Amino acid sequence: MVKQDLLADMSIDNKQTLLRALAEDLLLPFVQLKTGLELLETSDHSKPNSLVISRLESSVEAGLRLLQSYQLALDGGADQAYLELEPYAIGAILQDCAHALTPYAEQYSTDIEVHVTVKARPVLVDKRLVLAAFHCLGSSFIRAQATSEVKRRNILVLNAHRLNSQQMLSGVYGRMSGLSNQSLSLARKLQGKAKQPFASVSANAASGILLADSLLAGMQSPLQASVHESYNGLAAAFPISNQITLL
Amino acid sequence: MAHVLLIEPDMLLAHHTKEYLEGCGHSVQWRSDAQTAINGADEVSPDIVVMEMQLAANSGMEFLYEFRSYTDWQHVPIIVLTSVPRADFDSSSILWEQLEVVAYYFKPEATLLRIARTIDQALQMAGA
Repeated sequence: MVKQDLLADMSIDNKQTLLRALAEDLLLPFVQLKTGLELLETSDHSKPNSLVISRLESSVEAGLRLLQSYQLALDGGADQAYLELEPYAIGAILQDCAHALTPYAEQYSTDIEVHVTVKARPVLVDKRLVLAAFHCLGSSFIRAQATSEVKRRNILVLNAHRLNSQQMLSGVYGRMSGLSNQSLSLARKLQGKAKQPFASVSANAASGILLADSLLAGMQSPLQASVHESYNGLAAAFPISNQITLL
Repeated sequence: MAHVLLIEPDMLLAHHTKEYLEGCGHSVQWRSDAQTAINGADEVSPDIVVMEMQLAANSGMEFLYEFRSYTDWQHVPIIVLTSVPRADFDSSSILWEQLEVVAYYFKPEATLLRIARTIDQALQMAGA
């Protein structure tokens, strides 16, 4: 009942945009499943194609995570009171995210690295939202970077560093072109109106970026373009908590 | 056997399609965006193209016009396999005919078997 009341408060436009985006985003894992099953049907039944099966498992996992993230976006977007803000070590959240993303990354020939500065401080966040947002962002980057038939490994970096005395900046980085605050701002305006809100990123990958942005915006930490070492990406600024870290 | 140029932005979908069509006896060259697809077509002259319309940077429509602007590729059959429903394109069927798109499939409604059969039919018609 409480959830229904919260959803009733959310604007119809926002709900429609989210539901349309969900329908479009779920298309990819379902089509992956459909084509994968069709491929399995043609293979030798005495020798199960373990490579295709592991791809199907990661598609199922990605679809389920997507549903959870949209559920969180609907809940989080409905009311700030829904947030469960607690102090967390951002490095631990990034490690959890890297762990969850690893099987998916493996399917797309991607290695994940976690870079956390020694000066990292606990941040005050809703861990569910940050994990869901970074998972969406990470999986989008993984898909967007896997663009070559050549067997080279791609890199995905989850990073956190001190922005100033009040905030930690944490985000997802890789070798992505065309990510800027300007393109992000334009994509937010085009969300729900255009098939491909990010011109430089494929539609499959762009939707995850905008979903992550919605999740983080619910905590007043929207995404911003960022650079880490030689990687570019998107990050969010989280307020540093002076309370004891609760893991 | 035909040389198929597959333009698909998602690696897993590309692997599934590639492996299926290779199982049907075709050789498949996978490219994820319009620019590398043009380069790929230059390297291995494709007999047929299977392509997604939603691509990063240059769209599938840009690829189509660019591809058709080269004399060598003006009559190479093209099959569109996309996540965009046909009705969403603000263009008439005449445009697809002009661009010599032999078939337009919406991914959720298509099967790899149907794509493979369409490739065979299109190649037969092109050879006739």
